[in-house]
Amino acid sequence: MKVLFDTNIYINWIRERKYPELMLDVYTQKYLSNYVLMELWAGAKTKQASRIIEKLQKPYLKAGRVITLNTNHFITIGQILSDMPITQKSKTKNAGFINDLCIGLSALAVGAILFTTNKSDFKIIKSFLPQVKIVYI
Amino acid sequence: MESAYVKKTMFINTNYIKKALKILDVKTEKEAVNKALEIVIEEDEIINAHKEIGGTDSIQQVFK
Repeated sequence: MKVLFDTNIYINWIRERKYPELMLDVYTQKYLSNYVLMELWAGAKTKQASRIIEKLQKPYLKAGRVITLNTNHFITIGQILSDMPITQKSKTKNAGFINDLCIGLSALAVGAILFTTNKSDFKIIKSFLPQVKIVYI
Repeated sequence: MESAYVKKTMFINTNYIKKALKILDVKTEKEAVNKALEIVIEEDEIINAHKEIGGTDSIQQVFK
């Protein structure tokens, strides 16, 4: 089973060792979105934090498990942002939401189940991308 | 790590092999077995990295 973790899952693991059943599960094939990697690097404010992210990314990069999006994915993202109703339009100016959209599409790109704690953004994303399999923690 | 191949004679579940050929999108049984083992090793390396970084309390959440 392919799985992808949202940034909040990694942050909870790095800070508090939360969700060991996900992070240490030998029976899943773990993938990393390059948007998650970007968000983790954005939160690495110290040398120690940089070393932690380098350690994390190394085996994913070595195994070719870092997911990058293609042109068609970005067209889809643009179309979703364009189709969002007035009530959700503020989300189109929110970098975190756009990253989440990219993370959702990354999961879809490799057929992975996405694990996240962010119900509010991903419920909206799921309404536009019903094929994405999401598990809310 | 340099790859070294040796001939092995062993009993393997043929149903698993048939399924693995499809899942891994490979043509030969040899490729299927080697690819499956490669995935196990890659996963172990990822899990070891997770073990090393867990609980180090060093990252800030920038995006909500």
